Amino acid sequence: MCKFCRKHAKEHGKWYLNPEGYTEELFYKLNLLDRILGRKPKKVRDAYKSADAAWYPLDISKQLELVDLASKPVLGKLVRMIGNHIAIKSHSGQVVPTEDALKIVDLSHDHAVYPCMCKRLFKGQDEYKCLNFAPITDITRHTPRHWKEKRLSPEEAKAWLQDFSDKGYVHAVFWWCDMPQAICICNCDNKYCYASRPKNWYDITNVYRRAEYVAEVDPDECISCGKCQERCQFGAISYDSNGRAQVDPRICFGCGQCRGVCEQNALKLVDRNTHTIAKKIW
Amino acid sequence: MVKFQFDPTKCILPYDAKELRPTKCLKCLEVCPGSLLMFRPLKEKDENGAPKFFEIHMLFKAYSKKYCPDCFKCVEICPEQAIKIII
Ligand code: SF4
Ligand code: SF4
Ligand code: SF4
Ligand code: SF4
Repeated sequence: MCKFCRKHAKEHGKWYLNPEGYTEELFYKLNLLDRILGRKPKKVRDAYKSADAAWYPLDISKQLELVDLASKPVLGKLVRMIGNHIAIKSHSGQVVPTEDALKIVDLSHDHAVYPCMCKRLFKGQDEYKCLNFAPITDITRHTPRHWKEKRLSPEEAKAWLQDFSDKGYVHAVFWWCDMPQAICICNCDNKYCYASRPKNWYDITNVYRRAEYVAEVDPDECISCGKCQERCQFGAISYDSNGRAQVDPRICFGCGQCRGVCEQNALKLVDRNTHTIAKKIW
Repeated sequence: MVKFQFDPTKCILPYDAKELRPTKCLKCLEVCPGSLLMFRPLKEKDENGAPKFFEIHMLFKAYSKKYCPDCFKCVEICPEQAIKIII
């Protein structure tokens, strides 16, 4: 069990499967609104009027610029330490396989999809990839220039997640403010993602944590078709001397997206926490 | 580290109030193989408090060394010659 699950999962196994993480009580206890607005709101409802979901995230470049410091030889270690600490207390995420993402839809309510901020800022394209839920969706509904959003029923949200899974996007559950308040499931395309890049390029682990799982191949079932390697966004799959696929547990994020393309069902996810190598790598 | 220079007098990116972001051009973002370029708001605001104009900015500069030296695609595609990359 990862350190977050030990602290927050209770009897639910994983921190993001604990229903408490989806309650309004926790949301306000963690003072999310104060942080969004940068001040103490007198009344929560007043705060809705001035929170501006449309523009708030636009100028995040200043924070993102700081991650470059993590590449410095000596200072880098300290920056990573601070970055990891801030990540827990702000907006960061963990990769989840589709089956867990679907469970999160059941735990949350008031679903809406927004354009992915990463693709918006780094590609100039609005692709509806971020599935948000209450109380974030409640806030955006009340803002003056409310965010471009599409409301979804739970069934639609599940179909929509499945669709992203079919396309090979990586699901990740994001908290905002503090653990274990979950606010959205992103469907990530690593090329544009400004959470996975600080993790992959600068090794700031908590910004985009690996899933509680890791993939394994059954070499007897593999017919060397190469589809899983093409699908893996993290470059975790190579081939052994017999041409059979093999997953590098030091690289695999446990997203499970490789499974969807394997017609032989040769790939499965196993628990990262009990895997000899992967259990130390988040 | 690679130096990225953007000239806001050559590339003017107004705010599109319908899309809540700039929608003009952005070809440089499209071609960058490392997705290192982004748009970000300039200081000037309109009467509603929205940013009036945007600029193109390079992020993850430590990674520009890996991508930029053999690339220059943003410089080539920019119709306004607004970008300079100094290695
Ligand atoms: S090998 Fe790991 S990281 Fe790659 S697609 Fe499969 S589960 Fe995801
Ligand atoms: S998709 Fe399945 S059969 Fe094809 S290479 Fe990967 S593990 Fe082997
Ligand atoms: S390609 Fe040139 S003109 Fe177009 S957005 Fe980029 S910098 Fe501006
Ligand atoms: S030179 Fe190439 S890699 Fe560097 S910013 Fe321009 S398009 Fe991106």
